[in-house]
Amino acid sequence: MMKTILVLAAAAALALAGCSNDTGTPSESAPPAVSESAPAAVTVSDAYIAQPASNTAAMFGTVSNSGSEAVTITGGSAPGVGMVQVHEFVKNGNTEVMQEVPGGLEIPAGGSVELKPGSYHVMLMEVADQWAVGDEVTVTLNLSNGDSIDVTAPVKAREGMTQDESMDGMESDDSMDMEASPSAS
Amino acid sequence: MKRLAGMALAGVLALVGCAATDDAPVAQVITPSNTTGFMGTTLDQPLPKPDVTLTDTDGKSFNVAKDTKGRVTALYIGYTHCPDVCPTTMADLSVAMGSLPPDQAKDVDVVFITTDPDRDTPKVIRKWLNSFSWDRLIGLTGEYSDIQAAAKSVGVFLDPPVKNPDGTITVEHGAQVILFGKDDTSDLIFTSGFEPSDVAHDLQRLLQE
Repeated sequence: MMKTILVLAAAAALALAGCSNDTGTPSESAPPAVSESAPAAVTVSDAYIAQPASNTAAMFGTVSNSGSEAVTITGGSAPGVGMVQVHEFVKNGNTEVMQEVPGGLEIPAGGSVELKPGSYHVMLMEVADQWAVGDEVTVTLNLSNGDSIDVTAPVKAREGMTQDESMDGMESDDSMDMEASPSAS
Repeated sequence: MKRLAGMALAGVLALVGCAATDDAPVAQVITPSNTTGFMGTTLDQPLPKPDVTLTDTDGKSFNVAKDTKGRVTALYIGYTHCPDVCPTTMADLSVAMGSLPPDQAKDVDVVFITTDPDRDTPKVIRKWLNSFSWDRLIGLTGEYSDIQAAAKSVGVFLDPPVKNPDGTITVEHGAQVILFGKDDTSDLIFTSGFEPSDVAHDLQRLLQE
């Protein structure tokens, strides 16, 4: 069922994902969101999505660049997801701010960057469907060199969260309206 | 800071899991807590419980200081659309609460205050809190100015949420869980990335005081 919904949502997501990269970024010849599996210098290992608690989610993993030039992740897209960005946490005294990494996340030539809680993550916003532990989500990351890579990330349980997806709890018959937020226009 | 505390305690307890957060300076911090036997970071000046009236997830008014008076309380200031630190913190708190014996856990309140009241209605907060394993989480929202003042009273300085040109919203939130004792003051905080067992340990100590 999940897959069906994701497929159905894909078209809408592709339209929405226009806000991330398809136009106006340095990558003139932006490839289609669903990329071929061309040998890319950039790979993501141990990718996972932490079990989301709302309609935003975070993907973690280790991004490696085996190429001879630095590459920047400029954005991305995923089926059923309104917006995909690379975010970072900035601690500011006693408070924290989450923000898009200015200019994108650069992966140095021959190096790697770890995406982990409290640091960088790929932020998935306006998730249309409630993901459950065990689902797999394919996230396409757009790169500054014009390539894009597909990353398949399982949704992993977070200790301390219920896993039965019964987010609606006790007073819920009418409450499937998380997306009614004014967050994105 | 936590690392300092951990080092000081290392001889006694080899288990402090420094979860790698930067040692961000925390206002008023000061003494490594080992002399007190607490795992968290202790503050020089005790903080009072915020005397602020907000709205709980049933839509009822809730005054933090009055409605948790005399009870050990864990306070976290965050928002539900945060994918990373906020749910991790609430999940870790839930683990800590679930590890306490029930007759102790019933004497502890866990309070979440949103910093994003425009989006975090009582219903949205309840739905979010219900995704965590501890089932007695208290969620509060209200006027932003009240929330900001409450946060400031416990050393968390917030700027209003910023709407970015791309439609996303940047929201600040507290980086720590504040633990209040039965005397309704706190000199004990945990920064994000804490070990649930450390919080459970300190809650038990506060209950015994």
